[in-house]
Amino acid sequence: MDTRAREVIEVFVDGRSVRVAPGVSVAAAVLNAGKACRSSVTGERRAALCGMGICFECRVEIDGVLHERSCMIEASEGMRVRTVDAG
Amino acid sequence: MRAERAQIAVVGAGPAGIAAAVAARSCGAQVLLLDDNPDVGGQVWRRVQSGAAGGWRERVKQSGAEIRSGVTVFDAARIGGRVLLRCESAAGARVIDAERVVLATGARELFLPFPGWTLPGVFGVGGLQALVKNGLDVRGKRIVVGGSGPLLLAVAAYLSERGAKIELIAEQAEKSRMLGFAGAMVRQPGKIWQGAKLRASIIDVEYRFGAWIAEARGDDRVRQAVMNDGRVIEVDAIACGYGLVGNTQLAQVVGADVVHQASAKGKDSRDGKSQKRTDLSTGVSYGRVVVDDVMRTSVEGVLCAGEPLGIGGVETSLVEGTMAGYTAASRDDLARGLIPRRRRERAFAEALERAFALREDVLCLARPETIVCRCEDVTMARIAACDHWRGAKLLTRCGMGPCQGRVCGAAVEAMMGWAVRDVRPPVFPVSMNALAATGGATEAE
Amino acid sequence: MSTKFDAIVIGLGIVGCSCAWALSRRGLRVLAVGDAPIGGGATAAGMGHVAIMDDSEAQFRLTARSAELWMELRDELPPEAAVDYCGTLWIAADEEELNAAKGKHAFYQKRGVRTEVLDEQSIAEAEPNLRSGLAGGLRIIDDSIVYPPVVCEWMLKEVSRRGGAVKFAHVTSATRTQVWLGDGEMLNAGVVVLAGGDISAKLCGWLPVRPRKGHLVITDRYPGFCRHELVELGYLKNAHSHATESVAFNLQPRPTGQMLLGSSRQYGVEHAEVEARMVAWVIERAKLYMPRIGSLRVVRAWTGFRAATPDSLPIIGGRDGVDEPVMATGHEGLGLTTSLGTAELIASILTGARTTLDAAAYSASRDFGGHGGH
Repeated sequence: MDTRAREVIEVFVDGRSVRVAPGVSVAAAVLNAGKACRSSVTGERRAALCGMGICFECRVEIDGVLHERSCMIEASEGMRVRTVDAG
Repeated sequence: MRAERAQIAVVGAGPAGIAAAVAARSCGAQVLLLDDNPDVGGQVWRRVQSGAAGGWRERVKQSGAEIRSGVTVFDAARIGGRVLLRCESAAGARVIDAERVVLATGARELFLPFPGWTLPGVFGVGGLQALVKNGLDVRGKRIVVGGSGPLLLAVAAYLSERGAKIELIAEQAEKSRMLGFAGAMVRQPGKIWQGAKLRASIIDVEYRFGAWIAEARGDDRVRQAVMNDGRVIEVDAIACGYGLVGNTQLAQVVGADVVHQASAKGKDSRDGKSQKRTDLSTGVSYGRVVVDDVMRTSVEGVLCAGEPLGIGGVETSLVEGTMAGYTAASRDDLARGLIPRRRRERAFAEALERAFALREDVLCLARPETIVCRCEDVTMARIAACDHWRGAKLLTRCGMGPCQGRVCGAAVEAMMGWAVRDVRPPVFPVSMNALAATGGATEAE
Repeated sequence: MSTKFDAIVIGLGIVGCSCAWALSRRGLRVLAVGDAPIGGGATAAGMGHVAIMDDSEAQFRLTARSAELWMELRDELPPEAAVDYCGTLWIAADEEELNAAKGKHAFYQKRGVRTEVLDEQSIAEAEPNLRSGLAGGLRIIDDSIVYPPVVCEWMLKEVSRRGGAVKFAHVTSATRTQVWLGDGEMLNAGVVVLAGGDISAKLCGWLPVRPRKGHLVITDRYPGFCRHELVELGYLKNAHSHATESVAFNLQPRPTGQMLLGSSRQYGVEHAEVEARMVAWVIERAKLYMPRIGSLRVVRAWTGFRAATPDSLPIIGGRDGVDEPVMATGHEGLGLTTSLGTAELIASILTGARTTLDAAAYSASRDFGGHGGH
């Protein structure tokens, strides 16, 4: 389905419904939901830094795929995103 | 996998790549434009439809160049008189077999580690702008913008337009340095106007020279910015970046000559803080791809334009991209006609670089316990105990994570004065499947 | 350098560092000299697998003794050495390979090494990401992994603490008691040990040591995807054949959840570039065993050169009446494993210290089947 045709897209960040406009990145959706992205090697909570796909701090799990750069991927309807803040 | 033939492949669809594609198409060449973002425009023109950005965007879309977004080029190799590009996208892996390739891989931000910079809510300057352009909501958020370079002002203005409350813009360079820069601007009237306009939109915001963010404090996210004078500012976010570093990885992997002029400053000057250098310039240059006067690298069939040649900004990238496009289409004569313009743009860029040269202070913000390599969580103390980049990599694993040293490598080069230069394919993390599928391809479709 | 050293060890890889460390522990003042960095070369490029091997009795003894020494050392090493007793799982694809596994099991049992034969079901339980339908495998329970550069650094710190030193310099030639450096400097010592890995033959031309290139890739973090060091049982016939090129499935889980995937072997390749063709081959091989590995992300790829000998055994010790260094080279893919045993043997040869190892099996004077320089 062409997500751009929709007015609002619903994604699930750690199971919680988050509504965003079409074209919004997963990183923005995650941050707007008050979440961080990943857990560092020593267990620090990390979120996006560079916004352009080079720092890899914004990695999340998207639809079961680990380590996706959330800043490089647009949110799409029904997407399931798992962050460091998942229970 | 069979390779897909292309006459000219352009890697990167920022200003340089767009201009290269347009120029090559105008000479009748077949052009494939590859970019890893969802849309063309690169970082600087991300989601900008108006003005020059809109014009170029329209031109490239009308040019007849085939545009492929969301494609990561992770390897480039010269084989049998042609250039192979190995790529991955959501649709799968591909090998492009091109007669000529223009590398327009743009730049990334230079991040200099400071205590607290790993807290959620601390972003790059360009980084925060990119995130906001892609939907991050900053309405009502209190933000300190710090670091160095013209981007600070532009981003502060943008964030302000998007409803953020900019608490302070902290530019590390001294105001006196801008005097020389103003001289350069006199020769570039268009840019003065642009700058003035920027200022107007955030007229109420304090813009301070010789100021920097010394620390970020917070708990689960950033709460305070501590400035170099001790002032503590309550914030919801920090945007901090110290200018740009060109992306030379793909050029290095294909074997193009890159000059490294690491600063003379070594470990000693860091250990002995009392011997602080009086010269404000660090002399750090990172790698720059070497090209001839019409943008040809040392590898036949591989051209390069824009930021990988040294940070030059949009205008430089457009000129160089156009030149590279012409040369790639075997119209060196047209490219040569732009040499004087390129020289002017480069002179301006160099003046800009001198004006915003980094001071020693911002290279010494990391404390021993401050994390420098965010992928592997390697602290400053552990890196400072090493003698060079390769040793540090082996002993501490800094630069061994998925960013492949894009963040910590540039920072370490600036802070320690080490040359950071080991690049191997894949230049981006890529799936095993993509490596397996693209590894064997040598014949074209 | 005015200080007189009892021994100079050439080479800052794991074998050189181990020799320097072992000699200094026995009271010698040692100078370790070689190209920077410490723990570079094949040591940095290798997987860091401590494996008890059974290709030959001599190989078994050296690897088994070394594994004992690694076990003794584990508590002294810094945490960054990332020692992990994950064990090795040799994978048997079919009944023939399972029989080979059972043969190995008998071999190891007789020699007191803890091993366990797995059937189709138990190997699937041990490693759920292996494809179904494998015949089984053999688990070597006490095999381990370690991060070698950190061990090298630690060893040379110990050497320095005991009055020795480290010198970063390129060695151009050496005799039993002298070493010449690239800048013309000459160093003297009671004895010189050559642990130069694949470049040893550049200093002693007769050495039948050839570089054998290998490729490795490392993934992002996927904790739990793989639990043991996995090696296909075809490995022996593949990798130890002297064909120009071969690959074998070999996967190692790092404690961080990252995985190292190998391995390729190439003769006659001098350049260190990562070859897309070889990487693809290594991955295709892995997918035969672990189909799901294809979707995992590779973070980096690199190459290294192993110091291979014609009989796959290292060369340890000096030749009588020849004015050349005492050798500690030719460890091929087992440099990390056998470094400690090699060092013990070198110390025994040079100081008379006790060892259970039989020096004759690794002697520099042994018959290399016409592959030597004589």
